Amino acid sequence: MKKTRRKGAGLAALFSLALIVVLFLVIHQAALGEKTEPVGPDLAAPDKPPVSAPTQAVAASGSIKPSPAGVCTPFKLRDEQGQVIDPVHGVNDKVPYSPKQTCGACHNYQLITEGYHFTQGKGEALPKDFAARYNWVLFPGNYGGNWCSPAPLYRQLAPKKNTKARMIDMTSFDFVTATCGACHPGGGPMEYDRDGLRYDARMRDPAAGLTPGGDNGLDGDYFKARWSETGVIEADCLLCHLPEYDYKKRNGQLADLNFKWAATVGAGFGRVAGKVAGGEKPEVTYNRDCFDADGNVKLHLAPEPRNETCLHCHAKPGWKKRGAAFSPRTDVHLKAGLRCVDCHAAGRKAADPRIRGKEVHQFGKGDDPSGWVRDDLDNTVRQCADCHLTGYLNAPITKHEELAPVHLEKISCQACHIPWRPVKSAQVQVSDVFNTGPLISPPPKRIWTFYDPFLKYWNHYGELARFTTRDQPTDPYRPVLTWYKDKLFPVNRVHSAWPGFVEEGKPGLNQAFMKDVFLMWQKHRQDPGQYPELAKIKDDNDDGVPEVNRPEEIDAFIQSVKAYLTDTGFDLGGKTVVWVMNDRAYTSGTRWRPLPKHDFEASPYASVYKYSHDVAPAKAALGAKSCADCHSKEAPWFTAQIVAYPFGEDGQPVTVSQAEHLKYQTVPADAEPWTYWTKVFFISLTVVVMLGLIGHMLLEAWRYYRQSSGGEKSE
Amino acid sequence: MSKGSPAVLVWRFHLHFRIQHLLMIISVTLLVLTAIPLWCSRYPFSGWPADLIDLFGGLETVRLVHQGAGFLLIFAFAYHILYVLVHPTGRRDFLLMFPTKKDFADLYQNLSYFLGKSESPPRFGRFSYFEKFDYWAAFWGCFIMIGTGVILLYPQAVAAFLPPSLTNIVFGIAREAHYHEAILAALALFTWHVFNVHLKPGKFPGSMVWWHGRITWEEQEREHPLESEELKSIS
Repeated sequence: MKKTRRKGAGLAALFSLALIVVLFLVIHQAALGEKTEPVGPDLAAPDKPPVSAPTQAVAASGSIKPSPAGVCTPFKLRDEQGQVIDPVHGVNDKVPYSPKQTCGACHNYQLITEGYHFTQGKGEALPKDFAARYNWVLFPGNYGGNWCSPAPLYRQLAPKKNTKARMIDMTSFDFVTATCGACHPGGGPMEYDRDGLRYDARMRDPAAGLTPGGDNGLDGDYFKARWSETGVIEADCLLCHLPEYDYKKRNGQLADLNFKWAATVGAGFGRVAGKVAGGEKPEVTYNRDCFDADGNVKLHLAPEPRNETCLHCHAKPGWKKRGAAFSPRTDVHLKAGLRCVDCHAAGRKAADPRIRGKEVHQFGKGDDPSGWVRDDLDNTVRQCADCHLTGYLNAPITKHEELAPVHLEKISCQACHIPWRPVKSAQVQVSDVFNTGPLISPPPKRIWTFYDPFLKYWNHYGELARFTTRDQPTDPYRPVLTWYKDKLFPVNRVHSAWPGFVEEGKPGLNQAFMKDVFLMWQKHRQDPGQYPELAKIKDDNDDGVPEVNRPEEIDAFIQSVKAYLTDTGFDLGGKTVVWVMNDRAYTSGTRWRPLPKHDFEASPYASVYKYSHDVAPAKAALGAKSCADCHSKEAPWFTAQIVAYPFGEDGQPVTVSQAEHLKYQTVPADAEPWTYWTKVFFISLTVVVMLGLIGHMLLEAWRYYRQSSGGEKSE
Repeated sequence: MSKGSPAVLVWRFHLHFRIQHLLMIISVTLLVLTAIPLWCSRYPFSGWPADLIDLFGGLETVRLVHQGAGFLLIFAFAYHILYVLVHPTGRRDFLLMFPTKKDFADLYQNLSYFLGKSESPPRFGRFSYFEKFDYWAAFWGCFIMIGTGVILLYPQAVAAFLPPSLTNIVFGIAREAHYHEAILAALALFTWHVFNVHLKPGKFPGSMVWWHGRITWEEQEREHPLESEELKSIS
C-alpha cells in the first residue's frame, strides 16, 4: 500500500516536471516568435524580381535587429533592385529610391501593406448586400467600389476581362491619374494587378505579351497602360511618416506618369528631369543636403503621423461628406491637442485586439453605414467610452448618472454632443444636370450639383478651388438623427439623382459612365440641336439652378441619355435606362419602382455619413441646459423637418418630421393587455363613481330647489 | 352662552388633522396643476400642450414641482397614519370611519328624501356616509398615487426587485393607474368634495372648519344630530 502511494507520488512528480518543461518551451517559443517575426520584404511573392546579389544583401540586412533605442539606425536609400544609392560617393545616384527596398529592409512591408489604407478594398470579398445593390462594384473600397463620392455618378473600375473598349471607364492604370492617386499611399492596387503580379514586372515579361499603351487584350489592369515605363507606386512610407513630405510635388510626378519617381520627389530627396508622359526617361538628381558624409539619408521621421498628414487626404472629402472642419475652433478634441492617431490608433497603440500588433497598419476605424471596406474591423477606433470612462490621456470622466438609462442605451454620444454642425456638407448630390458654377475642375465634375443642408445650391468644388479647408465658411445646422444598429446617430443622409440601368437578371442597378453624361450635356450646350430634349429641364424653384423633377423633365433626361449612349456605341443590350431619385427608379416620368433601402438611408444609392468629429464642449451638448433641449416644443429632436425627397414636382423639398422619421409614437402604447385593462378599469371606475357623485349632488340641489321654491315645506 | 346655544362653537377637527388636511390641500393642488402639463407631454407634437408646458416653466420645472408635491403628500399621508396609530382622537375618528349598515340605510333614506319620498333626511353621527366616502377615497387615492408615483419615479430601483418578464407589465399598470386615478381624484375633489363642504345649501359660500376646526352648535345639530345627542349626554 505504502509502496503504491510512493509510486503514485513519483509519477505525479514526473508528470508535473514534464508539464513545466512543456510550458517553458511553449512560452519560450512564443517569446522567441515575437522577437523573430518576419522582417524585410517578402521575397517569396509571385512578382519576385530575379534575385540578384544586391537583393540578397538586402535580404541579409533584413535580419538586422531593430535598434534598441527604438529609432531607425542610419541607413542608405536603395533602389528597386535593392542596390544602395549613395549620392555622396556617386554610387547609383540617377535612379529613384524604392520605399519597399529601403524601409522594407527592416520593416515588414508585406504586413504593413495589408492595411486597408493600402489595399483600398482590393482583393476583399464583396459584402452580399453591397454586391446586390451595385452592379458595377468589384471590391468594397475606393478601388473598384463606390469611390469617395457621396453618390453616383463616379468613375468605375473596369472588370479584369472586357469585350469592348467602349465599355471600359477606368483601368487600374487610370485609377492612379483619376485623382485617386493623389491620396492613395501606394502599395496594393497601385503595385500589384488583380492576379497578384507586379504591373511593371509583368508588362516587361515578354511572355505576358503586353505592350505599353496597347489594348493588351482589353485587360482592366493593362488596357492602354504604360506600367513598364511608369513603374508602379510602392507604398510610400514617408508620405505619412515624414512631416515635411511634399504631396504637390509627388502628385505632379504622378500626373507626369513618373509613378516610381514620385516617392523620391515627394520626400524631397532630389529632383527629377523628364516625363514618361512626354516619352522621356526620367532621371533623378539627388540633393546632397539630404545625406550625411557616409551617404546615409538624413530624415525627420514621425512614428505617429501628424494631424496635417491625415488631413491632407481626409480634410476635403470630410468637408463635402460631413462638413468636417477638423479645427480647434469646432472640435473639443482638437482643441485639447489630441492627434488623429490617438483615437485612430494602429500598431502597438491600437485599442482593439483585432488590429493591435507591431507594424500592423490597420487603423482604428469607425463604422460608417456606407463604408464597406473591412467591415470586420468596424469600431476598432478608440470609442468615446474608452477615454471618458477610463481617463485615458487625461480625458474628463463622465458617467451621466443623472440620465435615465434609456438615453445611454439608445442614443449615441454624438447625438447629444454634436448638437450643431458648424460647417455645411453636401446633403444632396444630383448627377443629372450641368453645373455651370465657376472654378469647377476637372470639367467632368460639372455633372455633380450639390445642395447644402438648407437645400441651397452649393458650389463645393468652386470653393475648393477658391479657398482651402481652413477657410470654410460658418453655416451652422442641426444634423439629421437616424436609427442605425438600434442607436440614434447624427448623420448626413445624402440624397441623390442620377442616370442608371436596370439590368436583366440582376437585382441591383448599374450606373452610366460619368464622362458620358458630362459629354452629353456638353454637346447639348455647344449645340442645342443635339439632345434637344435636355432643353426641357428647367429651374422650377427659382434658385437659379435647373433640376430634374417634373415628369416631362424625367422623360427628357431618360431619352437624352439613351440617345447619347446609342449614338456613341455604348452597349445597351439587356439594359433599361432609368433615372434614379433616392429610393425610386423611374423608367419614365410617371412610372417608377421603389428600391429597397434601410430606414437610415434616403437612398440605397447615396451614402449615409455618421458625424463623429467636430464634437462640441460638454456644456454645449443637448441636455446641458435642461431636458427641454430635447423635450419641448421647440426641440428639433422631434419637430425638425428633414428632407425625404430633395425636389417635389414643384421643385420644393418634400419633408417629414424628425419624429416621424424616427418612428416615435406620440402616445404611449397600450397594446399590452395589462396596461389596457388597467386603463379600462380606471376609466370605468371614474365613470361610475362620477356619475354616482354627480347624481347625488344634482338630486340634493333639486331637493333644495323644490324646497326653496315653495313646493315643499322646509323642515 | 350655554352649551345648547346655536352660536356656540364646537370643536370638530383636531389641530393635527387640520395640518394634515392643509398639507393635502397644498400638495394635491400642486400635483393636479403640474399634472396637466405633464399629461401634455404625452402629446409632444401638438401645439397647445407644448405651450402649456412652456407656460409652466418647461417640463423640467414642472416635473420638479410635481415630484416635490408628491413627497409632501407622502409626508401628509405618513403623518396621518402616525396620527391614527398614536393619537387617541385620531384612533377614535379612524374607527368611526369604518362603514356600517346604517351608512347604507342613510344613503337610501337621503336619496328618498331628495326625491321627496321621505319626510326627513337621515340623522348622521360624527361622520356621514359621504364624509366617510371622501375619507376612504382620499385614503385609496393616496395609496394608489403614492405607490404608482414611486414606481414611475424610480423605475430602475423598482426593476431591480422585479423579474424581467414583469417589469414592463408593472410599469404599464403603474403608468395607467397613476394617470387615470389622478383624473378620478381631481374630478371627485373639485366637484363632489368642494360641493359638499362649501357649495351645497347650508354651506354656501363656504366653511372654514378646515382652518379653525370648529363649527357652530347649530351646524353640529343639523349635520351630526346623533353626535350632538352624544355630546349632550356626556356633558
